[in-house]
Amino acid sequence: MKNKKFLIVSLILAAVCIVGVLYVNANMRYSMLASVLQKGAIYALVAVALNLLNGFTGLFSLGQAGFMMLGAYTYAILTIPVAERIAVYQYFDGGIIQFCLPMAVGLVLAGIVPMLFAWLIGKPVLKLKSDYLAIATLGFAEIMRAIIQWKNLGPLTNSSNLLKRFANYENILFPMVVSAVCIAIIVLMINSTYGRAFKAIRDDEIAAEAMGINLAKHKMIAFMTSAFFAGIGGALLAMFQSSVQAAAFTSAMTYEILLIVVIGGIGSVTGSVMGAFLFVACSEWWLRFLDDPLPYLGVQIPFMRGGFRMLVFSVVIMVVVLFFRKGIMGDKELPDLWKKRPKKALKKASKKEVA
Amino acid sequence: MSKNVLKVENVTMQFGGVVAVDNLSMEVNQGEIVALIGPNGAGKTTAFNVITGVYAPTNGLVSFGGKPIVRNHPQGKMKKLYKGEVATMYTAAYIPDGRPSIEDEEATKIWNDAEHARDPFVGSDKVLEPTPDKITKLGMARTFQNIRLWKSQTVFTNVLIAKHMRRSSNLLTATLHLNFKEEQKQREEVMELLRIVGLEDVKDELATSLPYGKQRRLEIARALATNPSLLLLDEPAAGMNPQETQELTAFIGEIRDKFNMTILLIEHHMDLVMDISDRIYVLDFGKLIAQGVPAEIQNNERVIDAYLGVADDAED
Ligand SMILES: Nc1ncnc2c1ncn2[C@@H]1O[C@H](COP(=O)(O)OP(=O)(O)O)[C@@H](O)[C@H]1O
Ligand SMILES: [Mg+2]
Repeated sequence: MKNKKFLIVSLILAAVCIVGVLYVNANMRYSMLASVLQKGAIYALVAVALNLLNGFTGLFSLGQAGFMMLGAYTYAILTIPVAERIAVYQYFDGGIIQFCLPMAVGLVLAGIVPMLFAWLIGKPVLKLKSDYLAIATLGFAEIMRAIIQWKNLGPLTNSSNLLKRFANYENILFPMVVSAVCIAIIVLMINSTYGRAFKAIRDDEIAAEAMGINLAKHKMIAFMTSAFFAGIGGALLAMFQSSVQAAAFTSAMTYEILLIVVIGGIGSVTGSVMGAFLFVACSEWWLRFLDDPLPYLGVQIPFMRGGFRMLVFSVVIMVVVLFFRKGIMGDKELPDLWKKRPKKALKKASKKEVA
Repeated sequence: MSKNVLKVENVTMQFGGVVAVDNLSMEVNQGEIVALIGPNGAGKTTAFNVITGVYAPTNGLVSFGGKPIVRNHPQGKMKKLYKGEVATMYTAAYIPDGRPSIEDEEATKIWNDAEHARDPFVGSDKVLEPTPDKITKLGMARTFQNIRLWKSQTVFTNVLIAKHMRRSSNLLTATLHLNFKEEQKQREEVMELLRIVGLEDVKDELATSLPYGKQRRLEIARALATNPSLLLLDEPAAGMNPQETQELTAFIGEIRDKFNMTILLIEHHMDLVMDISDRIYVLDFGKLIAQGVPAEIQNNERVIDAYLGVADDAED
């Protein structure tokens, strides 16, 4: 009965979302809302991918921007039409790659290349304890960024110049659909026997190993999966921006994504998704007015000028991190909010029994 | 005598300058319940950790089902620091005594075979230090003295996760939920286990919300879910009152009978130990000071001095 009610509610919610998105797609494709929906979907994917590591497996990695960058570059490099290459690689005689892959192939490779890098660095790095793992992955991302901007790699990466004119989507639904499919795959994985093993590692590594879970192997699976989807997210971000530049993929981007995970709730997929849309909407749209020095109702409000938005934003985040440590969702998922009640009743009953 | 399941030979575990386990040798046979007792800090848990692969021993050999699973000799810094015995026994430099003269081929062959039966890698530097999951896969499962349940998971899921090891699905089939038949079977087996240990009614509660005694039972259920042939229990009755201890004693006997299990346990409750153990090993300061059937141990002067006397005092 409860289940039925939940099903109906979620169906209605889903229908409202889909109709809303379709409406935006049809009537306001160049609006701020459309842009927030696209970027929000992309950030949702990379946040869920990071949550798979930090939240579900207990591996504190800070390499997300690095893997996104690898994905973005893989996609961009491989899908620029041959005719455009001379213009894009103007300082490098059109670059060394003289072919162009279809969009779908490029997108899949944008996942596979970062995944291979994750595999390469995973073996030494995943043995490290939490803080050291964070430092090592952060270092990896920064080194990759430096390497991509390295002059001698220019014919491949265009050095520190923009990559542009690669294959792009027409319909703003594209990043949302790709992101939804990827998140669905991650959720399926989290709900499988592997996902349970990840959570066991997070909760107690020694017990997990004693119960036959191969730590090295399972951490590697989580790490590579996360890198794969971060790469896809990076490619989508490249498309959304119509250009890529390594300089954008700084550690600040990783912190933004980490923040989304924390705000949404560490260990909650729905939390990360909601956090992503909230974050993107706030930082790009709702708080924009704070940067606006124009007088409101005839009053010139002090501080309201360029950059003030970021200050307010930082304070909001600090408040969230300090006072809502578990984020919006804690480690619960949206459907759990419906399931909660019968569980509590049961707990009370059994407590009585013990007493 | 029945088949040998676990054999520990000359195991020494040294942490820096501290010898926690000192040249321990013991064995457990099929269907036996064997107890490992001794005062706090005697090295019992450390012995468990060596057997289950948590620590690689500084020196010694552990065999399971007749096959060596753990083997080591003092290496690196430990070569100089080593305070234990038989430092060369598991190296290429091993010079056994009692070897018959080379001319006597017959005797040499018999002697050789016996040495290889004892240690298939005899006369080599072979090191075996598998991770704990590899050892669990061979059919050994344990519980922990300081309970280690997965705290964010329910009672049911705690046991279900232990089934992960014996899966036949891979990442792809599991993610696409093509393994639903296996999953279904696992869930049924978990329910059956919970029924046996009497935790069926609390299956949806958080594992850590259970009272102490039930958490210990849950750890046993979780260990059983890995389908072990040898079960290692580290102080399963710690923190239990006399009534709970009595129930647990009966329960451990039931497990042995129902699952045809071999059990090695560490325990301080002497009623429990004397009641269900077939044989007992006594450790003190890392050294084996006595072994035998309960009646022998109860009357052993050294054991009374080192441990039982103290334990009795403590219980008063
Ligand atoms: N990881 C470790 N590092 C250093 N010393 C240890 C370690 N583990 C155990 N010990 C030491 O080994 C000795 C035996 O401990 P333990 O095996 O836990 O005893 P028991 O289980 O018999 O009470 C203790 O002196 C303890 O301090
Ligand atoms: Mg102990």
